[in-house]
Amino acid sequence: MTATSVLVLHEIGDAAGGGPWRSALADEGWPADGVIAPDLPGHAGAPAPVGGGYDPADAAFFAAPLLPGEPGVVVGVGVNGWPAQVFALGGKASALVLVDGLGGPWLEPHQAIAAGTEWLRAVSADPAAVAPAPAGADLDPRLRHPIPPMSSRSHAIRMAEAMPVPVLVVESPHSGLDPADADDLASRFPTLVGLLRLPDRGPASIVAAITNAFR
Amino acid sequence: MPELELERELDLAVPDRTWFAEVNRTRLRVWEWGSPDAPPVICVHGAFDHGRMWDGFAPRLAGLGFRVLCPDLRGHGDSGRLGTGHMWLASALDLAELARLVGGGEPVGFVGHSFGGGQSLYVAGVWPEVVRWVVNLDGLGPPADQFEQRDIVEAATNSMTALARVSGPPRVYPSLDDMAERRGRVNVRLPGPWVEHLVRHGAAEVEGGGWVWKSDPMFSAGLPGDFDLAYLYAEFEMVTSVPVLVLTGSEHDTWSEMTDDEVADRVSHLPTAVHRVIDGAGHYVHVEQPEAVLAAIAEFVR
Repeated sequence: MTATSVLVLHEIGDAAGGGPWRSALADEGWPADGVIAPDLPGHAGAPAPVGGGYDPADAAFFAAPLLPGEPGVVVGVGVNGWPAQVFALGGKASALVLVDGLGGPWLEPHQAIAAGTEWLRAVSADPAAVAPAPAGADLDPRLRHPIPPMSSRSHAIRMAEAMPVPVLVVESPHSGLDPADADDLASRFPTLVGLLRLPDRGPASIVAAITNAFR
Repeated sequence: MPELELERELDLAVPDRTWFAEVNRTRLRVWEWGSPDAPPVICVHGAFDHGRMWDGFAPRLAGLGFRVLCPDLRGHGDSGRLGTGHMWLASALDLAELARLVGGGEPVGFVGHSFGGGQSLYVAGVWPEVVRWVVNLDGLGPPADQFEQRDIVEAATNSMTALARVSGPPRVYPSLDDMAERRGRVNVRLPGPWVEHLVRHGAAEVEGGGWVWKSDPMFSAGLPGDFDLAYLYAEFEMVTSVPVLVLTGSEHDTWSEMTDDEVADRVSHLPTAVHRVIDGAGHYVHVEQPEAVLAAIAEFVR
């Protein structure tokens, strides 16, 4: 396949935003008009989201209007692996790259609800996280409290087994999964192109792999 | 029907006060009845409704000796807009902050209808220290069949369609009567004048003519996730210390589609709840039978 565009949903809480991805994609020769790697709300000086709330689905809401007319490669990093998979399942990607984005750590429903409770209580107890977000901050203070990820293994498997487009899985030591679990999850994609293990998740080596696989 | 005439027919009272609460990075319009010095009760409306939904019930509740605060939830009425359709957590935090703001260090009562009932329970589970008690008016979540797993590709495709739709311009209705006709088709048990009242306060006139719903279209968009009955029950089971009164209507209605066994099963996951059925009411229990609901609350908080 020959993709002409790449949409990157960087990790939630990454103060650098999409900048390093834009640079790495330019260095690999991706055309400027085909690179969509925005600074998501609350990151790298971008305004905080309307109303200030954060949710693992935010990236999809923000990025949906930016999707190119012709589906291209969609990259989801970390928590944003989930919205990236929804884009791919919904016909908005020609290929999918998940960087530590398979999901997890896995939680039972009562654990997931408890994690949400813990997060809300931590946010509400932090005056800077509840106060209006400072303009131009590298990282919204609310994001000092990592938002609970998509934590249902059965849902992750359901998405993987239905995936209609080629998938490249990249795992680094930042992953929430142990290697055997990641292997198992990756094997559920009927369209798996490969599973790449890297010592870090710096964009340069990942973009090189994306270019090699999909361009 | 002119507004005043309508309010007279429905025996409604305009709010004693209205103000905006700046909480949790948003702005909530608050409609208020009763003495400002009385113990506060926050009334939380349902999805696509607004604080003026309580115009009939709130003055009666204030008559029991409460300061009754009826916010427009974020994304509804005159309150702040939504960034995404996933507003459950953010809205719960709004309500907890509002309770802190008006409670003066003491917990406050919550009365929640439908989606607002679910929100009230969730606030009580997460921040029991800010909630004195919860009255849940037919807010035990959607029927079980709505949690059934759909084809994930179809669900994702529908999400993409919904995202595209809410990113576009809102639907403009030629008149309030058209909006009332549409709403009346959904809330079939609500008397016509009530539908008119809800529409009048739930709509905004647009430049160039016509009307749009005040509720944020973003509210109806979302991504397919894993939330199901197990998660709902886990939320309910967090409410371990706050007293809960659940009131449901005896009549089948839109959004009141659970069987008696389903309702009993849901209530059984609320460790502190008592359940009462209000005769002659559907989903809008407090609109159809305000005096019976008021009596049940008076007995509960006594």
